[in-house]
Amino acid sequence: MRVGLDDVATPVRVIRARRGWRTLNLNDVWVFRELLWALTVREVKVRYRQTLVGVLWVVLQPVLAGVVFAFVFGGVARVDIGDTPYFLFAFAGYVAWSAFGNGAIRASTSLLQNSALITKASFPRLLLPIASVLASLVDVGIATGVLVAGAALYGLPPRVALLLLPVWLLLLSLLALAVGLISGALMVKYRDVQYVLPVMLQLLLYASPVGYPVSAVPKNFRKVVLANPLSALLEAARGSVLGWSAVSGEVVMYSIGVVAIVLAGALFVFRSLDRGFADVI
Amino acid sequence: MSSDRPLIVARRISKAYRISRGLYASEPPTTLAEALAFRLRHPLSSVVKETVWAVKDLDLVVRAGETVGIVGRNGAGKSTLLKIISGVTEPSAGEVLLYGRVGSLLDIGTGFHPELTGRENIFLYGSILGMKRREIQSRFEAIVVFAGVERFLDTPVKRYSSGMYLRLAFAVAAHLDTEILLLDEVLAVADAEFQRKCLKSIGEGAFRAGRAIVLVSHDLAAIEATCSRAILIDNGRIVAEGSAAEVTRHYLGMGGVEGEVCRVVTPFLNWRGIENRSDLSGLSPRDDLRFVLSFETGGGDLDELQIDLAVTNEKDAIVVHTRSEFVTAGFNVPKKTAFRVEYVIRSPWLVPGRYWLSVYAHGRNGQVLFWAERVNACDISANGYFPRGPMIRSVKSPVIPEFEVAVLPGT
Repeated sequence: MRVGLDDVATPVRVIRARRGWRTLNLNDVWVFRELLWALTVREVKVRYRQTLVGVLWVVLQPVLAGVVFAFVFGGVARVDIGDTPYFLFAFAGYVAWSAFGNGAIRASTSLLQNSALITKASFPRLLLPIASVLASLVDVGIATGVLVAGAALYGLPPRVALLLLPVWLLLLSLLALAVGLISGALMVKYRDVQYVLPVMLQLLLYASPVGYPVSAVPKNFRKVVLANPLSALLEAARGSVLGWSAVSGEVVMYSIGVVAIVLAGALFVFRSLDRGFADVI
Repeated sequence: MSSDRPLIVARRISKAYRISRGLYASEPPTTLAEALAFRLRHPLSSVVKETVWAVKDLDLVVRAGETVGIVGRNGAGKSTLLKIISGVTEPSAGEVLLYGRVGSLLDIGTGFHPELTGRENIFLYGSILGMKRREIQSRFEAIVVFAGVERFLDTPVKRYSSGMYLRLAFAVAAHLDTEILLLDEVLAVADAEFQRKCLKSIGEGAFRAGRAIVLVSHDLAAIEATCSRAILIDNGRIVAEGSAAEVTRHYLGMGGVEGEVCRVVTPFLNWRGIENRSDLSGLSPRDDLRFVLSFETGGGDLDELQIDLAVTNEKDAIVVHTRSEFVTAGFNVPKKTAFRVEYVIRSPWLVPGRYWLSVYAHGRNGQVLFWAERVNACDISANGYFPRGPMIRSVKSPVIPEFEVAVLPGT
């Protein structure tokens, strides 16, 4: 990016007022990739600095959720999932969910947490939520490792489908980024969004097939559940570990399409709002 | 100078802040719930917004090799201008063309994380400032030596003393090698010796690399020592432009407004200001401080009027205090009369920097007639005081007398 000083005719950078909606210009993210990396590393390091607590919590959270969901859905509601151990099923579901849920929370709060950076440094604001989602993927990776090891202990050795697991987790993270971008941009102006979002996500957790499979949903509600793009992705992610899932290829394709549209829309909204961040945060 | 390439070209830039007024009962909503509730209750009304111009139709060209100082009162728009040029905030109108990479230091240590080690923070902070990883690596040793933190590189910076913390941040910043460098008041927090080290590296850096530096500061002495040119901003517009000495002089001429903190006025004595404001900058420590104070008496004759002065430094410590009763039994002035008091303080030897004058007038039996703190600034500059240049910034005492040193043969 170093531009010769003799080349006066073309400015390295032009700053002027933007009006209305603007183009996405994702090239920015590439130009600033080293800063993106530095921000991601910072978040990961700070999180794992107290190593024991950091790693332990990343694993403990889905394990505890797996225990509770196994009790509620497997023990109390007696949802039928065939021969699969219910704990493993719910554990897998929660790991996949956390790629979305934790990523969305961390992406949405990334702007407020870095308000000093936003008012004092010049860089694409988009880097902050992206770095948060990337850092959150490290957690997901660790939990996934434990999950795969756990599945092997239960007699489910890794299979070829497992190779697709990163793809599903990535799609869930992209959806998390979309939610994080919109709620994060709103949070800059309206602080109450930070209290509303976790509640919404908690409700969405129960409305999505995390503790139960889509196949256990009564037929007349199934369309509604599958309209939620999370459903197919969660099922597919879990399926790549457990070997079975209750969604068809078409539903998966539909969900990927929804992720793409929602993410594009969210990026668009974010890029149109981010010019005002430094003035209101 | 004019043949040098422009690195920053700002054309008619303006920045408006819109402040909601009118329809909202008190403050504009800060929560989504309030905003929605407001819309539901007043579905058709539009919110009245007041526009405040922080920067208005400002033009600025900075060429390679120039160091431009920006001075002005608080809220004049200096920082907003710097934020626009650095791209932190967007202008409402106009455009800025940048013909080089920009490094901006609007704050020192933004992005430092207390949990991370010195080494990690160097890389993090460097990339926040816009340095490439490669550049940071190649300057790493120099940064560490500059900051003097060799032994603490792998210690989390939360265990650093505040001085070490700042030195490390400065060291990274001082090794920024962008063509354009923007500095906002950042040097104010460092200790004097380190400040001098940074200013020196900035001063050299500008010309060596053909860089353009824009520096915002309240420290007029620093502006005069470092900048080849200065601009004075008031109400978002450039009101004066020229050599650093001219502009700081102009700025001081505006004086009296910025610093005044307290004023007691009585009907007996009317304060009309300081007449020789323009003499109060660019003074050397050996120069006399001369103030011409202008007054007018009220409806009664004044007997035994005494005028006391206090001069405070940037840390608000009184460095000179004079009471006229030490030298006179007081002045008698008839009623309704304009008069001037000339006060000369002989060679106060004040260390270069900015000082504030406070005036206290009292009559017979100590009756208070007038009292104002920080009515005017005066600036003492180091230029030419010592034969070897402006190196007195690191003096630890409030005064710096003229002195001589000689080696004598042993006996």
